[in-house]
Amino acid sequence: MKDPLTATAAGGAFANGGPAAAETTFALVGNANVGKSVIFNALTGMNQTIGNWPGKTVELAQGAFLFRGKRLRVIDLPGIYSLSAYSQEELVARDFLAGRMADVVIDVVDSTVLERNLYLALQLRELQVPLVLALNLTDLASKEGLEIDADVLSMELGVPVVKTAAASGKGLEELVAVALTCSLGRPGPGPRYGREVEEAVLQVEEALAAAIADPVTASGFPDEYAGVPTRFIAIKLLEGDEEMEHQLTSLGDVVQIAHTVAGKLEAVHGHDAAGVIASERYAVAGRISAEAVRRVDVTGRSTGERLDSFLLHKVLGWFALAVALFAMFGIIFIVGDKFAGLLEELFEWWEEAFFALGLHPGWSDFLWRGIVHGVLAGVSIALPYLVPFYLILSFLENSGYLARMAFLTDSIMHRLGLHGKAFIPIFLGYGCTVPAVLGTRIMERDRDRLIAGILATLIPCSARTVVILGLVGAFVGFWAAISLYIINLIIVFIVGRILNKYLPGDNVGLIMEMPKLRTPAWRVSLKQTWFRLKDFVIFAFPIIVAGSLVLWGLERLGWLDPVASALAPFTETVLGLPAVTLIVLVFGVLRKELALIMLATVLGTTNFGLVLSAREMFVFALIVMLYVPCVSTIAVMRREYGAKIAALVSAGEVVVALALGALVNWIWNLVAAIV
Amino acid sequence: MKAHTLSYRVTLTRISTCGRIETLMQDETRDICREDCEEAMEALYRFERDGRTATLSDLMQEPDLDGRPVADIVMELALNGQVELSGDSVSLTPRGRDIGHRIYSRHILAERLLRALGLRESCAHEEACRMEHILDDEAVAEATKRLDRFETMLDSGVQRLADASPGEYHVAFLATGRTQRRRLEDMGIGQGAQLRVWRKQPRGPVEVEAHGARLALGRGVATKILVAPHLNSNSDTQLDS
Repeated sequence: MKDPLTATAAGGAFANGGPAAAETTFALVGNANVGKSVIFNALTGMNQTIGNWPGKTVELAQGAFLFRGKRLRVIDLPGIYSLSAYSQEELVARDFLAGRMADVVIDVVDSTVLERNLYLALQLRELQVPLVLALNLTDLASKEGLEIDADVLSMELGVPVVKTAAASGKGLEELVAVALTCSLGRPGPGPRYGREVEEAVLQVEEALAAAIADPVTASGFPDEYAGVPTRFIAIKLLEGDEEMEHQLTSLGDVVQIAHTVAGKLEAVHGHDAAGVIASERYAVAGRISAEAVRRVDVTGRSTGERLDSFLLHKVLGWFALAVALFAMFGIIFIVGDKFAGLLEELFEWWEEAFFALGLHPGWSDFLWRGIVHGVLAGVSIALPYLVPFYLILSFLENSGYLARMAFLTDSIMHRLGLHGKAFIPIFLGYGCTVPAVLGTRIMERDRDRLIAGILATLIPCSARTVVILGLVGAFVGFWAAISLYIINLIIVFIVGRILNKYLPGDNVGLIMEMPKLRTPAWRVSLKQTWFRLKDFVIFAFPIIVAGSLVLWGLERLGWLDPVASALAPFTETVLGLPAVTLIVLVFGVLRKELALIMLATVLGTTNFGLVLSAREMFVFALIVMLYVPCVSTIAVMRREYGAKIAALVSAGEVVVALALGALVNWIWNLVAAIV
Repeated sequence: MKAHTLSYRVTLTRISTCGRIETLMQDETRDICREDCEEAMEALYRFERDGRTATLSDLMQEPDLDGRPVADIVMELALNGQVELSGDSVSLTPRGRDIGHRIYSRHILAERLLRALGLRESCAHEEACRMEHILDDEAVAEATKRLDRFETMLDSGVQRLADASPGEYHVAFLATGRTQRRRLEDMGIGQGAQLRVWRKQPRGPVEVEAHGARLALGRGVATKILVAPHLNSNSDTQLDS
């Protein structure tokens, strides 16, 4: 295990990357699911998640590493299919690349879908950035019987090509070495397109050059475009790129000339210039890939295809989906329950040992009940459930099944004003709401992100599951717990319908890449789980500790009881719950499972069946399930959607939960009185 | 809407085919409106197109002019300089021909459109007779062009991607908005692109393959993509021409 790429520091924002002049910066760019993040992680060993569903990496992540004594910086750009400005990701990537913030751009391409991947590569050639093509997943390509000639590819594109298999680390050292040699110069213009398009591009380029040369109009040319080749600008103008037109409006009549030229192109081809240029690129991509790729082994249907005809079958597909979901939750609960029990015992033993140390009673109480207890509760409750969840999730992502789930559920999601992709974040919500809300970024528009995010906060996460199963499941019955899940799904559906109806905007359709079914590499899955867990611990544990401290302090100060008794009329008569539970609910906001832990503390027993009635437990769990996202979720919602929406959603969910709690209490009593 | 009205009594005489002298009398006076004139000019235009010269009795037997004061209309047209009467026959002047042609085009478009939408022939004809008087000529020309294109597409087996069964196709037309079209083009589903339909969910998305990559397209997107079956290179018929 001698890794030549020694990971060193891991920076945060772009700014603090150290002395910029002394180091070389690489940017990783490519379609979604090509193993970009796998390469990134292999190079830097930094906190980054890797996914097999489209659009995963939406934030720019950066890392640094040492290579043959040289310090290198890597920036992982979001997965994109094009450099048009139609999504935030594309715009971010384009601005970054056009702004020459990277010394070398590494375009990671999926060898098994070379033609489609070359579309982006051709656009990067238009931009004439120092480029290396990382021909990734070559192991899978040869398994599929594809033989790719890297030299042909390199000659056609005019940039170096390196074969890699990132999951096993193959070719990465060569990739970095080749990339370093590219940092010195800028390659010439890329492959040419058809005659008509080239003539049109030339006309616009000439107009552009004339406008820049003319001292009267030259001031209209923004400085940040100084390094951008005129060919790229001309093509974007022909495509009717709004961002580019906006930037160049004051540059003479260049935009108008581009419009006229584009109009001529349209008249010849019968559809708009952007479409003409796109199909020219695909024609070139098709030609290059036909020259470079040889299919050695022409077998019939692959295993993946046969599996697909089952997994995506009209009837059997749903059966498979149901089995997969049941198996997943079954495994999580069985494994989670076992480990939670073991950890609980271990920590109880630690607690005894701790108090046996004979510290000052005040200090030991503060240390244990104020700090350690919260952390251990987090460890013993959250981690046993999260580890199997993250492992299974990464298995689903990397195998490509998550995209199949989205395919199957697309029509259901449409009724909520969303599309199939939304299934992914909503489904993530069963694990933890925080990654679920972050995961809504795979949706294309703000409206979809918001709807999916709100629905994800309503889904019972693993912490809420602990409360539902630990209270209702254990002391009321299995079916009572299941009925809570069903009530939850009904509410999610109703809320989705309402949001779809009243939020401005309409439904957009699903356009999603279907990654090939693959056997996931365990190394990648384990790494991914580790990164996610680390993320979670860093994010959640400070809140848990702070929460425990506040809780401990309030209890010490004796502030809890007066509040409880003040609100007792509401709690007891409307919700039919013991007065103390309200305080428990308030602190459950810190972390949902704290509600259960605190309930045990307040009631003085973990055998809830002795002190609470079935109705009380059911209503309590129902309220915990819905009443407000936990602090971490509120924090992440604030980051994603703004403080106003975070506050509105939280308040709305409190109202819904209390109203529903009151309603269930009322119905339960009514039925009990009749029966 | 009426151009102007006439209210006088006309008597025309002519020699019938069997040599008898007939008196064609309009017993009642009736308002003659623009629609009547247009209808008659259209009928005359049709006669001309078929290479026949119309007589007054031909016109009276025209189903479209049934129940209209044909003789009055012809007199009115003659007074306006839109037809010429020479002996037995009624023929259009250049001015009249122009109007007749325009009305005829409107009628044809309206009838094609209604037939394409699935109306019965007789019903479509009747409705078209009404619509021909109110349609705008420029709009008719534009719509005819488009209808021609769609009919060519339909003839070559164009259908919505959402309805297409598994097989090879090429994209005939993208009826989506700008943003979605751009996205589809970037993913390799531009106009003219080849794609293969793998499977579809009932009332759900369609899975297609384009440029070697698989894509899932929601049903809403798939209804806006028109595809035509892709013919193999060894086939005799050529689609694009």
